[in-house]
Amino acid sequence: MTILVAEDEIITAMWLQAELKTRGYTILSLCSRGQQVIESARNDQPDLLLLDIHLQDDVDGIAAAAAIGNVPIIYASAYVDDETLARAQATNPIAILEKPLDITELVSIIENSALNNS
Amino acid sequence: MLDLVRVCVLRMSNQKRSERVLTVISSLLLLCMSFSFGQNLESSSILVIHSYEATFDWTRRLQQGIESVLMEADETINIFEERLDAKRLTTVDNWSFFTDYLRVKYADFDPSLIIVSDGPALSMMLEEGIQLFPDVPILFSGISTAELQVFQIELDGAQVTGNNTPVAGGVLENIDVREVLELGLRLWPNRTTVYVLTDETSIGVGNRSVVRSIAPTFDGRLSFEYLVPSSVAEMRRLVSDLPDDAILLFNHFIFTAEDGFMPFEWIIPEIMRNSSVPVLGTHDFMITYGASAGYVTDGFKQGTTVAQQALRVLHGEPVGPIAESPNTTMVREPQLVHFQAQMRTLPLDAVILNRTPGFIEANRRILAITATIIMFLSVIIGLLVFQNNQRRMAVAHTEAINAQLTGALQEKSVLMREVHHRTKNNLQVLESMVALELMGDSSPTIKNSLESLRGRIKAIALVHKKLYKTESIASIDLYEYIEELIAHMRELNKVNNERAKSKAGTAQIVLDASGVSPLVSMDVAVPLGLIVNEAITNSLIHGRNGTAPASIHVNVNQAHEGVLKLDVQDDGPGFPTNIDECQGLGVKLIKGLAAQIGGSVILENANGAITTVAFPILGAK
Repeated sequence: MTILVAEDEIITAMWLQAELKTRGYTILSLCSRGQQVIESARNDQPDLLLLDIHLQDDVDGIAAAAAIGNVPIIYASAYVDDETLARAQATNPIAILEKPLDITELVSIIENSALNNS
Repeated sequence: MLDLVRVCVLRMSNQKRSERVLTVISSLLLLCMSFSFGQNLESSSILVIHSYEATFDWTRRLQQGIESVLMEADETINIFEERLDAKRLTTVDNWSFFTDYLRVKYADFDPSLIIVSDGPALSMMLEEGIQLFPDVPILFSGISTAELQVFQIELDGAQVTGNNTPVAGGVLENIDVREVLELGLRLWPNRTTVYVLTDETSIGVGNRSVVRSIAPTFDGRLSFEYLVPSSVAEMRRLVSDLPDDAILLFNHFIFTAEDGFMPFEWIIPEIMRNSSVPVLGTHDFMITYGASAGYVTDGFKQGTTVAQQALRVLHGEPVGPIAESPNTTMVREPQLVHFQAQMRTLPLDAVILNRTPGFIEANRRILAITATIIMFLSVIIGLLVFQNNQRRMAVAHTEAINAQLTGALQEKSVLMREVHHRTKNNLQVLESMVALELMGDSSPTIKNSLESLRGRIKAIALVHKKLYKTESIASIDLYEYIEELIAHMRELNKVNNERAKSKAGTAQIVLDASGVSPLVSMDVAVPLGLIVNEAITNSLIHGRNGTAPASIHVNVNQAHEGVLKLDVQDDGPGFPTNIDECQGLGVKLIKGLAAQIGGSVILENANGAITTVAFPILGAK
C-alpha cells in the first residue's frame, strides 16, 4: 500500500514515515506544500493520502485533497475548529485525527481502509 | 397756639431744673407736630361739593373720577366731600341751611381748593363762597355752556373770571343730541323715526327745543315725533306700541302732571320694561340705569378732568381754558343684541356695559386650571422624556461596553485556541523526536526513560486537546480527562507488550470515580495528569504480582468539601520496606507536582502499593 504524507513539520513527517515503514507501508513522498501534494499525487498515484491540513503554502491539505479527488484521505491536524472540520468533511475523508497523533489509532484506521479496499 | 405756650410757662415755674428741661423738649416736639399737621392740612386739602347725593349715579361716578386722579398723585391730598342734595332742597332759601352747616364745620379751616359739581352747588358757591372761603379758588364740573352764561362766568383767553368769585377753571357738560342720533343711526341704520320722550319741566321743554333745532339736519334720514305723556301709565302705553322702524330718545322725562317727579333710577328701568324699540340716552347714568345706547356726558370723565385741573392749581400752574365736555359712547350689550344692532360700528373706546364675557373671560378659571395641569403634565412628561433619554443612553453605553467585552472575549478565545493549537503541534514534534529516538538502537534503560517521557508528553498533550475542545478553553472535566488518559495508557501498554512480545499480558487499569466531576484549570489538570501517569507507569513496571499482568485501580472521590482524593493502587509487591527512602524520579515528580497544586502525598503498602494524593479543588480558573 502506497501512502503520500503531507506534513509541514519535518520531524513529525520523519516520525510518521518511520512508524508507517516499520508496519510495511510504502511512503511515496513527504510533502510540506499543498501544490507539491497535488503534483506528487498525480505523478505517483498513491493508495492513501495522509494530510496535515495546515501546510506551508496557500494551498492547505483540504484544498489539495479536493483538487486531487478519488484517493482515500486521512487528515491529521492540530486545527480542528468547527469551520475547518466542516471544510474537511466536505472532501469525504476516512478520518480526521487530532494532533498529537495516537499512532496506534492511525495505524488501525489505515489497516481498516486497506482491508476495505482490498 | 398762644394758649399752649402759656400753659407751658406756668408749668415750668413750678418745676425743678431737670424737669424744666424735659418740659421744654416735649413742648418743642408738640409745637413741631402741630405746625407740621397744620401745614399738611392747609397745603393739600380739597373740598368737593356735589349738587346731588351719592345715590345718584352721575355724582357717584364723578366722585370716583376725582379720586382716581387725586389718589394716584405723588403728594398726599386730603379730600373732603359734601353734598347739597339739590334734588330735595330745591329752593335757594333752603340752601342757607347748607351754607350755615359749612360755615360752622369749616370755621377754622380753609381748603386749598374747592371743586363743585353741577349747577346748584356752583350757584351756591358763587353766592356764598366769598364769605365762606375767601380767596379759595373754585373749579367746576357738570356745567353746560348755557349755565356759564347764566352764572356770568366768562373765558378771558386762558383765564376764567367769575363775577366777584375766584373761579379758576372747570369742565363743561354739554349733551350732544346730534351725535346721540348719529350713533343710533349707525347702530340701527334701518330705523327712520325718532320718538323724543320729554316732560313739561323747563329742562324738558328746553330739550325739545334743542331737538327741533337740529331736526332739519336729519332730513331724509329721520323723522321726529314728540311724546309728552301726562302720566306714567300713558308713557307705558305709548312706548310699548312704537313701530318697528322707530328709536326712542329719552330726553328728560322725570315729571308728569299726574304722578309728579320721578327719580331717574326708577323711571328709566320702567321705560325699558315697556319699550318695544331701542332707547337712546344723553347721560351716562341713563345707560347705567338701563337705556340701550348713547353718546353721553360722562360723570367719571368729568371727575378725572376737573381733578387734573385741581392738581395744576395746587402746583401753581396755569389751568388753561375751560375743558370741553368729555363725552363717551356708552352702550348696553344685551340691548344691542336684543335689537340686532350693528355692533361693529362702535368706536374702539366705547364703554360696553353688561358685556357678555368672551370665551377666555367666561372660562378664565377653567382655563387657568387647565393651563396649570398642562404645565404640570408638561413638566412631568419632560422629566420622563429626560429620564428615558438618560436610560437609553445608559443602555446604549452598557451595550457598547458589552459589545467591547464580547469582542475582547472572542479575541481572547481565538488567541487561546491558537496557543493550544501551536502547543499541540509542538508537543507532536516533541513526541515525534522521542518516538524516533525510541526506534534507534538504545539500551533498555534509555528506552524505558524515553517511554516514560513519551507518556508524560501524552499526558500534557491530552490536557491541551481537551481544553481545545471545551467552550471555555480554560477548564476541563477532571474525571473525563483521567479516564481518557488511563485508556491511552492501557492501549499503549498493550502495544508495547505486543511489540516486546512480552508474556506478561496486558495490564488491567480500572478507574473508579465517584461524586460530581469538578472542572479544573490547566494549572491543576497538567500536574494531576502527570501524577496519574507517573503512578500508573510505576505500577506497570513494579506492580506485577509474579508473572500475572498488573491490576491497577485508580480511585477519585471527594474526601470532604473542597478536597479531592486520588489514589492509585496495584496488587504487586508494594513499595520497598522503607517507603520514605524511595528516591526514583517518578516518586519525586509525584511529590513535587502534588505540592505544586497544594496537595499532599501518602505512599503506603496494603496488598500492594498505594499512592494517595489529596488536593484542594477551588473550581475552574
